[in-house]
Amino acid sequence: MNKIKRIISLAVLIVFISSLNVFAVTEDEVAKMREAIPAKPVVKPAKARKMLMFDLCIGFKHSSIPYWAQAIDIMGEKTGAFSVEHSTDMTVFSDENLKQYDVICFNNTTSLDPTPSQREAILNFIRSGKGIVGIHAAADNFNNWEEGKRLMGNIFTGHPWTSGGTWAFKITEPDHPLTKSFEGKDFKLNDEIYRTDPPYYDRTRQRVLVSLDLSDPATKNAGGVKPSDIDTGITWIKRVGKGRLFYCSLGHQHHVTWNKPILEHYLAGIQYAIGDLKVDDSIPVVESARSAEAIELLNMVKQYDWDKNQEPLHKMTLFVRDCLNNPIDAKMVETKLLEVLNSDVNIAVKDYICRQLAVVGSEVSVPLLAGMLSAPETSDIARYALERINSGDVDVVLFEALKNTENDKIKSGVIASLGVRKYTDAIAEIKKYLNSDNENLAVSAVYALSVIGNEAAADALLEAQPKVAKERVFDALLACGQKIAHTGDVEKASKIYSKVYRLSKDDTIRKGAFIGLIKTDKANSSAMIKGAIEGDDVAMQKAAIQTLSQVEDKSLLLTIAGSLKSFSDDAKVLIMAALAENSSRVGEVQVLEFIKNKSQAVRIAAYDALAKIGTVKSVSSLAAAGAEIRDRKEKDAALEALFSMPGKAVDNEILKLIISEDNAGKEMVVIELINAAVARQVEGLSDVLFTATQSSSRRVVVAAVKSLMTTAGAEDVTAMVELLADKPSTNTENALTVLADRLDDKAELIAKIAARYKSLNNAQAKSSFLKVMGRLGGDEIAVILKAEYASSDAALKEAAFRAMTEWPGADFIANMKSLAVSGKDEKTRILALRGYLKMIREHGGKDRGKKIIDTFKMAEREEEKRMVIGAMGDFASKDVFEFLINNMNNSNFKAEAEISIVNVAKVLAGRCPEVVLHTMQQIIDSNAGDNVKKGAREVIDKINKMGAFIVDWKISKAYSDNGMKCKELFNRAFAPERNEGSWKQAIVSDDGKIDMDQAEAGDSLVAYLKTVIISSVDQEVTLSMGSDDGMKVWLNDEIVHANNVERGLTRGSDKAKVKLKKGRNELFVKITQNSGGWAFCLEIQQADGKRAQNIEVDSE
Amino acid sequence: MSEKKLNRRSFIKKASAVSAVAGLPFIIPSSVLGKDGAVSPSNRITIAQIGCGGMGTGNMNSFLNLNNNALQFISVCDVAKNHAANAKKSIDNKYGNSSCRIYGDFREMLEKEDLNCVSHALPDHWHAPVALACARKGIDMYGEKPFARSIKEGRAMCNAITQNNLIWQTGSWQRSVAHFHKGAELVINGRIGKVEYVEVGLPNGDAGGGPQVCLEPAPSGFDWDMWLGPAPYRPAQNFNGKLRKDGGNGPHWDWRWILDYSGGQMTDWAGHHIDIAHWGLGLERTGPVEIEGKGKYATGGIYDVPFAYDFNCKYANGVTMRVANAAALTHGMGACWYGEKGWIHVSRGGLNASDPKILKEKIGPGETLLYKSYNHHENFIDCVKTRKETIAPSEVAHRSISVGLLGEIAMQTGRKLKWDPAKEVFVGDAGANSMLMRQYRSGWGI
Repeated sequence: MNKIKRIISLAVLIVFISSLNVFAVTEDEVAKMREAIPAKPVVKPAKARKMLMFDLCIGFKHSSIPYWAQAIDIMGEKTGAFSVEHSTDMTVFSDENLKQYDVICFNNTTSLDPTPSQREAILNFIRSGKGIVGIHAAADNFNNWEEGKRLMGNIFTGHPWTSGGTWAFKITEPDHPLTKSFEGKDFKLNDEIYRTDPPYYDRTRQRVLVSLDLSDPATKNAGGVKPSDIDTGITWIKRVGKGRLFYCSLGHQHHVTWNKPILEHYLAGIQYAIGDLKVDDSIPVVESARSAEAIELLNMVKQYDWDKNQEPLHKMTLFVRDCLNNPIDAKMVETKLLEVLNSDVNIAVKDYICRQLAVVGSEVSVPLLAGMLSAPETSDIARYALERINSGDVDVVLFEALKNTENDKIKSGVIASLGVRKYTDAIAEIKKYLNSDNENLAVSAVYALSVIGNEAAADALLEAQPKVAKERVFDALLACGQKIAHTGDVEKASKIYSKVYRLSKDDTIRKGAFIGLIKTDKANSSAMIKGAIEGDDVAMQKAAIQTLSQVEDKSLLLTIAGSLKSFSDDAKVLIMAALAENSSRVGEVQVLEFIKNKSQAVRIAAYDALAKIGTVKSVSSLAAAGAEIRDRKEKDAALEALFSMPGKAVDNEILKLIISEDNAGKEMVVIELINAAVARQVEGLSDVLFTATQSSSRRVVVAAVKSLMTTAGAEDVTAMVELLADKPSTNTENALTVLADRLDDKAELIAKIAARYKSLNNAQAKSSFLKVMGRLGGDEIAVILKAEYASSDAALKEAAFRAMTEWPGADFIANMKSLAVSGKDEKTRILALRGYLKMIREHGGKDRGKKIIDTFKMAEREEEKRMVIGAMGDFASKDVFEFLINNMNNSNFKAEAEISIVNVAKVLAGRCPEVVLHTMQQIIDSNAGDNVKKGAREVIDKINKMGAFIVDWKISKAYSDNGMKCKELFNRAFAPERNEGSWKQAIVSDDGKIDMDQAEAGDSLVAYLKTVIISSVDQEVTLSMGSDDGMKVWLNDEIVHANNVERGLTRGSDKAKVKLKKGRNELFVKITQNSGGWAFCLEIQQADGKRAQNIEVDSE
Repeated sequence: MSEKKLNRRSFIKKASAVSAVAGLPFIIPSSVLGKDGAVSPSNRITIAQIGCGGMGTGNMNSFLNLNNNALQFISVCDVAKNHAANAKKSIDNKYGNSSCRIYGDFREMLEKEDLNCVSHALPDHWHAPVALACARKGIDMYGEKPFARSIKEGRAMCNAITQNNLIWQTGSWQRSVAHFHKGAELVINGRIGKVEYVEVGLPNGDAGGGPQVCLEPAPSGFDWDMWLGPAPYRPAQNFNGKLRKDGGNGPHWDWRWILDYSGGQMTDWAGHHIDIAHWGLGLERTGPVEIEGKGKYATGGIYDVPFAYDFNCKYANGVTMRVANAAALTHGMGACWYGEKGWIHVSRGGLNASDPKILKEKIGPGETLLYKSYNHHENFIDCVKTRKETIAPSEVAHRSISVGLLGEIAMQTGRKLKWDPAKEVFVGDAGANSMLMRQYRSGWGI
């Protein structure tokens, strides 16, 4: 202790003691103490004894502390057994200072947390032959110190017996000198009593003299008492090394300090701890209730050998683990295991016993195991136990074995074990083996020292003169460096790295040392990195760059980034790549300077780095670069960075810059910002785009409007309508149309656009509105179109007419038909005809085939006829097919007819393959044109390939139910089973497979297929099917097949014989999806497996 | 343009930008180093397979099937001669020559061959000794999960890999599968709100009990002593009769049920589903602070791993993880995160959520984008070239298996354990701390 500390602690001590005397204990109370304390020592001290009484509280502070300080002072003074010095300063716990004392008394101290060296000093003190005394709360310290808790023999976990009650105590050892004052009489006392729980309260390690008496009803029924509290110790003693501990739980209440028998009890305890009073402190054997069980199990274990069933071992293992719950059982089982180990059993049994001793063994096992270390056949198994036994004795016997055995193999195992146990006293001995020419020994020594890994181990390694495995020594030094750096001593670590770096010739080792140096020698790290990157040592170059990409030291990264200028271009590129890789994301400002560098490689590297480390600060520079740069590669790098830079702040900055005044004149910059914002899917972009549509730059307006096409949503309907009114253009029209397609419900848009139209007075806007309205449909708009068509304004009338030709509904079908015949000019008639054809295709109903044939008949001009024939390709019905065949040789529209025939035939092939096949064959045999013949052959191929498959299906959307699995979904009826839901034409591959993903891709789903089979006769056919996963099939509303499975698709895996009635037969299929593939196929077969005859399919 | 395409584009661009950097190739075979650090124009990556059983040849074939001309298998190593011979045959067939060399002792191979990287697939007790030997040679590694058989071995491996700046990829390939990635990414971006509880379902350890012992001399062509390596001695043992049946192949697969070599299904699969659970929680580089659980162990035959297990881990941020047999959990196998707003469950069967809408949500550029890999083996080779961290690096793999190993110790001691994830020691439990390292036979160290 230095002088200043001594003075301070003395000052504290004086204040403390005076506070005790002045403020706490009254003169009356002191008088009672003097009266109660014995006049003579229990035994005359061998010499003058000195007690260090420690009174510090970190946690709860007992008010009885000054009472005990006073009482013990008086006790020492009155009996002459010892003198007392007080302290509340943790630094008194040093080897040097403690030398002067014979005993330490912890006076109700709480939550003490000594440093490692203070812990050592306390342990050294008692082990060397001195004493420790604990009063009451002395068992409420050392929570973070395992050996400390064991030392005191208990740790506070609660006190069911509170200071408000009076509790019963029994003298466990009435004949023991330390309990003499109680005269063998059990007693009752008002005090607070701590619970004593294993493992720290351990009757195999301490001798209990006084206990709580739970046969007393009040004591037994105190609140919170649990069964295991039956053994609650009050006073115990134990030997620790050559020293002694005395602890007594009594002393919470003040009156205990003038209780005569208890004070005498304490005096005897203190004199025992000091070493003047010799008493029996051996640990009495407590019989375990489970020894019979242990013997029985071990008798079975003894029969074991390598080739026997291990069942008895497994049973014993569980028993051993169970015994750990009770120290007495644990001690018993350890003893029994040792008996077996010491008997004549085979090596397999010994091996097993040693593994159990690794779990339950204590210092008791050490001597027997030590004896096994020197025999080659038992050395390893003894080490398995020794390595895990928590006792300092182990280190000693291992060390002895190392010195005494001649067997190299045993030596190498023992060396490794000393390392695993981190026994630092063995370092000097292990060091000798570093220079051994036996590789196994040398490597074991290296291994042990690298596991110990402290400064002493590193020094030993550094001094080695290895003959073999030289690089392993360096490698171990690097491992020590890591460990030492981890403990905080970077300076020492750095010295180790530096030596290894200089001495090793191996690149891998040098690289490791270099990286270690950078991490530990901060002052030189940037210079080292610079040197390595610019140097010509490739290994170090790699190491430097890799380190830079991983190092967590931000200031180092910034230093390197700040000196980028001084590096070569190649190095600049590497460093910037490393900065980009480093997760610290620093160096943006420094890197930003290099986007103007004269080397393009450097510029691109800067952009690539900014993509990762850039923030708001880089946005405008990157946008400017992206706008200005001509070179594609570099431009892409800049724009990629603008797109990739992480963070919402970047999003917001981009939005801000799009509409910033500063960018008003820079249209290309604004456009790149808009593009980036669209790609980044920035939230709130639409609002900014609407603002941008007011830009004075036409190109910006166009970019903004085009972007709105992707970004605008339902919430933007009003603004979009206004935009169309304000800036009518093809782009705006398209943007609004695309938005309309995205809307689930168009009603609001239709109402708004109709209302807004009424207040328009700009002709161009009106024309734009009409164009959009024509694509939207809706009753309100139909009224407007009719009205405007009747208008006297020629331009309006024309716009309304054009809108009507595109109308999605059937409202104007009659108008179109009549205008197609009687329109005022050819242009009008053609437009009307086109509109009419579209309308009958979409709304023509079942007889639309007839309608288009009629249209052909009313067409006058060749141009019109050609248009009708061309349109027929989309009208897949038998009458149209027949009409086209009959008219295919008319030279005026031969080309159109041929294309249409093939298109119709392709669709009909799936519905009525027999008819189509026949017709196609006729075409091939005729003098038809080459194109139609080629088409006909393709259709025939298709039909042949199709075989018996049904390929004309309607498919539903996919359905799922909250968390429901595939097999459950099979039995859950969704909308289509109730004749609801929407349908679309299914896409069927050439091999008849329907990929159900077209409904929706995903897991745990269901979708449906339906079609109609028209049979010209009553007949029986076979449905041959395959499904991935399960399927359920209905024919005319009856289930004809069901298979709830999870599997892949196999064609024809399932078959169902069904009866088709003459006429329409409705086929309805449900397919479930677990995960992965999802598909279905169905063939309709007659008895020989070929396609059933006399049927047509029509999913319409 | 979909989100996925955008990211993919960035990914490719980034990868090529780094590897194409400035005429300083990152791959330099050590054979051409030497005089003044001159660099050979060769960009060949040499690789060897150590452990040529089912998993080993599987990995080897995955590497061969990358059809990467720069990647060259030059040797194989196995203690079973026929395994090594079969592996050589596959490699020679692929390359159309007969130059692949065979070894029975990996140490000899590491001495003689000039290797850039190694792929190893070995019984768990072998992971640390082989990995450390490779690390000392500066060799990058693709290694199987579980990362190590004990926590101290795992830490030593991580330290050596860091010390030598090596690339390590763990065979936790689920990370490179889209739906696992997506599940973890949704969770880490708060799509189910704050997560306070996770369930991890692992396979039932069906091998409990196990067959009778068949003891017989090790067949010729199988180096039993080397197979044991650092593990405690036991005479040649015919696990499940397989040594005989396939003509001396070795104790394939069934070593999995013996504690000297493995922790059973629990530690095997910890490297998969706990790994994924950590990924979604952003806890992949730390560990729990408290572990408590129960296990049931095999009671007959030669097996002694736990076949039933159920343990809870608490993390410093309050998250609790329950790891148990799949059969005991609502969602079975996989990781299931429970958040304030719902749950997400991911397994090999797919990705599910309390509300399917959660799964359709996008992760924007400003959010946490988890590392994306499309092919686990290719990701390793890419990283060997670019020196970037892989998708399943050592520290992450170590922390994943640590949870399984901590559970194992908690079950064996039957105590509630307090763990310090920074120092990697139990707080105040010397008995448990002694179990952080396995005991080695003399002559073996790491």
